[in-house]
Amino acid sequence: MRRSGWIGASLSLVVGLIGVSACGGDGDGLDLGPSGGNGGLSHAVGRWEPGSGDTCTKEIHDSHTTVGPDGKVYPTWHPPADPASGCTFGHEHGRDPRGSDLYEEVGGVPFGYANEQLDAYDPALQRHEDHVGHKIDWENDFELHYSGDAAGQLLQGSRCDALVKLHQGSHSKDAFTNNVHELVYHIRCDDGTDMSLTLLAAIGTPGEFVSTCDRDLHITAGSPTPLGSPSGGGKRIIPTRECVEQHMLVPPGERSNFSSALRESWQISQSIRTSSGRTVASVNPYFNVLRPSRFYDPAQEGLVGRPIDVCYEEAASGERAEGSDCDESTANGSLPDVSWDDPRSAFDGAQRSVDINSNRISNSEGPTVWYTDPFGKNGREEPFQGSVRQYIAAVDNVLAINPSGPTFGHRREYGAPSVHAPN
Amino acid sequence: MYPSAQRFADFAERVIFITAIMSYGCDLAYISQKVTRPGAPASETEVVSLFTGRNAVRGIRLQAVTVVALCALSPVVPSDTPVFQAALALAQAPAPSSLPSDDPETVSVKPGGLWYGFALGWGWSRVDCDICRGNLVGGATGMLRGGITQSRALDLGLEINGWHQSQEGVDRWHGTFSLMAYFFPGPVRRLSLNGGLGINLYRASDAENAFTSTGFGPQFGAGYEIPIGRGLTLTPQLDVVAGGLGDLEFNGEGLGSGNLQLIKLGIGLTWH
Repeated sequence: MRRSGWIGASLSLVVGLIGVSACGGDGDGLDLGPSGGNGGLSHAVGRWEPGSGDTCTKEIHDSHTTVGPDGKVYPTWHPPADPASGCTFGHEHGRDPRGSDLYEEVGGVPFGYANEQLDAYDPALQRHEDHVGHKIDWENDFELHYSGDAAGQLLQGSRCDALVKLHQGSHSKDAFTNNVHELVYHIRCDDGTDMSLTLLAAIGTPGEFVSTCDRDLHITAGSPTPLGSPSGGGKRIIPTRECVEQHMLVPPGERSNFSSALRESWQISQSIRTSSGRTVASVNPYFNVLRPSRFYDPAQEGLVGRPIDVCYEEAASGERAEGSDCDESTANGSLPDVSWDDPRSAFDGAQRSVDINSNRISNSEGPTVWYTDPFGKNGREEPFQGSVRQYIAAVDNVLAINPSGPTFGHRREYGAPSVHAPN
Repeated sequence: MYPSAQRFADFAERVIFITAIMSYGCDLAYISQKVTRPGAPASETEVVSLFTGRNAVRGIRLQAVTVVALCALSPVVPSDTPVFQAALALAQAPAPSSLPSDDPETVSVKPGGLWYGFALGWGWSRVDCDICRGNLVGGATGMLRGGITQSRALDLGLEINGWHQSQEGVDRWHGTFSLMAYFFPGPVRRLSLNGGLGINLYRASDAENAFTSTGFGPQFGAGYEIPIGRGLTLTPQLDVVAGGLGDLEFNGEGLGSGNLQLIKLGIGLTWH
């Protein structure tokens, strides 16, 4: 395999492995290429437990795995309902990656591989993310866009295939403080751009986030996990109680602007750098959640407010939430008791979009395979403890102008009647 | 009318206008050819036109009828367009009862003599580079030129062309400064074949960003000089600029090399 050091194995091949290797070791942390899945279970396996409304067992859920580059077994994409039994998991992982033109090359997407490598790279920096936050999206044969009237009229963006995954939980307080989230980013374009990256993307500053309704407002929400999380480019734009009051609670006769109140946008600016500090590749995709199940509310004990609760709220001034998302969730107000984790709530984080922006490579001298630390830094030509294999084409595509778009996924709904927060 | 239909109608109107102008030039040439004295010595480089005579008026009226017919046949040009209305008025005007005589005018050129002229028209520009769309974009053109006559068959001069188009917040400019040779292959100075080399300047900009380029490139074309007065010719022409674009720059930073094509139709006046 050119892109990947492994072939994602479908679970029917791996179910047996789980049984025999449940007590397996963590391996030596070296990413040396293909392996047969005999490296044991990763920490990411078994992190999901069925909720009260979920009909699948943990065992059925944990049968949906793939094998990572280190030979360990990792959870991977599965539909909201188990295809074999029809039972429901109550969460979704986005678009089925098997439809991507890149899938044949990259195989199944292991959830939590970079997190696993971090354990080996620096045990003091453990970052194990929950299962439901892993979200996949992809698009085949799309054209990159250039922003601005002149660039849009004059320039022709290259055509690309992209398959991406971000751990983007939008149900808990995790992202208020934690800026490190696993990113898998595969892209190939007709201008020679070609890369497959897996890393823990540091999105913005640890311990803080940016308000949805005031992009200049940086809110410090606590200590990050892990404590030594690096700062990164970009930012995590997350709704706050103030945004809800501005755009969701409206006077009688007006309609709530749910998008302005609740839209999350995690804007990544991530580079792959060598041990000498040279940047060989950089990407800056934006991952957006349209109807998350949380917002930041410092008045709440856990700092988390729930949009569905706002649907039932009436301010002293008479302001209240009016419009589609609340109507849909409460059957036009006829359901008085829809809770935040009720499948009937539209605020389940299942409506998302991805902006594919610039994909800069400055690697004309090669090599095409770099081994970096889990944060995409300290790249070397040989693997090392806790390193992650990155494939980057031997090209130089850096121009004075960068694409900004397109957006895909915004017309797709990944939820199902059974899907509910936490998702 | 929908915006796209309006743009198409505008474009069709321009095509009809230019077509009529060009065919009008050819008709005038035909009229001139018919009355040129067979015995006129070519060495004196005299040409004869009947533009001010009865035949010229007849030619103008024929052209007006042509424009009306073209507009009537075109499903996209409404009858209230300026070209249609002007042509209709001209076609319906009563024939003049008395006309000047058919006295020919002559245009003489002498080696070492100065000449100068201008033209207006329409052109289509295309920018090519690795990441360019490469669309043909139509816009208005203007031209100034001047120089020195070398012989009956050759003029040398400097030609400045400008092309401009503004659409959806983007202004595009293309300018050329070319040293040109104008070769007249016939026994009289009618058809000219033009060629030269010059500098291309290109700019496309919106409110925030600008693409610019400077490069060298050749220019080729053809013109037709129709004497309409003493020392004055009406000059329809077709030019193709196929210049190397040089480095295309975005806000001053290089985007790589490319090339530029400009095809333009115009009509103008030239004084000798």
